[in-house]
Amino acid sequence: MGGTDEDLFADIYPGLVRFAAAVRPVGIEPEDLVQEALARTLQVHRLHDLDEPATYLRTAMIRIASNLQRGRRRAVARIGRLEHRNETLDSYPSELADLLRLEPRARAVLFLTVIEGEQYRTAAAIVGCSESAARTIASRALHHLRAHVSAELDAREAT
Amino acid sequence: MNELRDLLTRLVDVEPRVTASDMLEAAEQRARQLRVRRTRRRFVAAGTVAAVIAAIVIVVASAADRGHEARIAVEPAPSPTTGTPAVAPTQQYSVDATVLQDPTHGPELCFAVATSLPPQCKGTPIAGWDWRKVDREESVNGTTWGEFHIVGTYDGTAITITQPATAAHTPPPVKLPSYKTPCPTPSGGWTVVDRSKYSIDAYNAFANAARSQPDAAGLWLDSATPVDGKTDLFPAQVINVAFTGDLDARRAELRALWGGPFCVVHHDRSMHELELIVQTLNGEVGRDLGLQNRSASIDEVNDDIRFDAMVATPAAQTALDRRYGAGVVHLHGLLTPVP
Repeated sequence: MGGTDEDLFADIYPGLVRFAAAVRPVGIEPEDLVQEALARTLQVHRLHDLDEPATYLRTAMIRIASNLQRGRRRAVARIGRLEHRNETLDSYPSELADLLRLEPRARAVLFLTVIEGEQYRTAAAIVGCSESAARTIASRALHHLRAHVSAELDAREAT
Repeated sequence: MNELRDLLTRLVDVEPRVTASDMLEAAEQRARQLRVRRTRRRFVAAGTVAAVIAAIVIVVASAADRGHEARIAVEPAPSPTTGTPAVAPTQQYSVDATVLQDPTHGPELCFAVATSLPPQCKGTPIAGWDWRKVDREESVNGTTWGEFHIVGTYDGTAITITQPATAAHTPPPVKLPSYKTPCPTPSGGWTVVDRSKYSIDAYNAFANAARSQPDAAGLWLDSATPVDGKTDLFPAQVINVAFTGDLDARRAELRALWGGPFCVVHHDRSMHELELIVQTLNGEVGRDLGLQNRSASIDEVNDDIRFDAMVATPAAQTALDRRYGAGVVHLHGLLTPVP
């Protein structure tokens, strides 16, 4: 395949930052999440060796974000380059705070299906679950956000 | 849909502050650091293994000196308790998955994990697991877990480690399924023919009508094909619907409900037929073939079924082809045989 990793990465970088902004734990900058996923990938692969580098990096970001969210203190200590800012959910309006309380996989499924218009099947492949599990994740996320997305929830429940 | 879209748009409304080339350079530097750390860990592990081997040699030699029969005990793997698993007990398998131990059970291999804190799962027991020999595990309230690359044998009930576990490999690039519209592009391209029937409500009516037909065989959206000359978010997508019966009749019924572009295609098997196959796979057929950890999912685009089992063998795939027809059920093993 022609081109360099630099050219390839320049193409996919803005989309990766947006995705990182969707799945990041509070206190982690989107670019830090992109960098960690990229570093772990470059540890074993060149970007050009990957069939779908953007998908690969997205999956890696979800894994890192999920691990951070699960074992936050230990993971942040371990991944030293991930800067832990004094950002809390109180910094956000209530609707965004509720969104950020969702687990990274749930935010990823919502972002991929609603913003990027992907099928649940595609979103499931990226977040690493079955299609039906992705639908369940999205449904639960919408119930969590019901105060802010009532129309969407009503439409789903009517079908 | 707009409320949620607005919310998500606000969440991801960020502009990169670092250029792509600076980011790549920083990541390459970090990758080099990670490689060095991994190499150091390997040296430490190799030193530990050498020390253990030396200790075993000394113990065995001293026992032989005393005239006793010296043996290194290996914990036997538990015997299968039910069914006849389609596995060869000496075959080695590799797998990347979560290993989790909690106060109710020992280390188990899990393919599905509840992401609570601590996470929870119930999976396949692992014999010979030692948390002291792995990195990157986490512990909360008596539960220890991590994602690892494991190589071992499988007897139908438990996995027995045969090589030191390492960090889980990053998943291979995902081969995304194709949702390409199978119908030929109309002259002039795909267009919206009636804007009065081009809304979320109209789509819901369309989808409900399509899915409720007895010969319904699938429904998917193609977001890559331009509609009115451009690709955009839903509903500006070509809707594909599959049926096993009279396609012209279905096309007319659906056109009355939806003003956007759609494609009607024939499938050999209806969703109902595929669902019945899934039931048998998850039931007696899966059991008879000795396939464990069974789960089956329908592929509406390709009119087939993916069937996940702990171990997939050519013989089991052949049996499924004979029973359901070639290409209807694709058997996939969660454990990968090591050549």
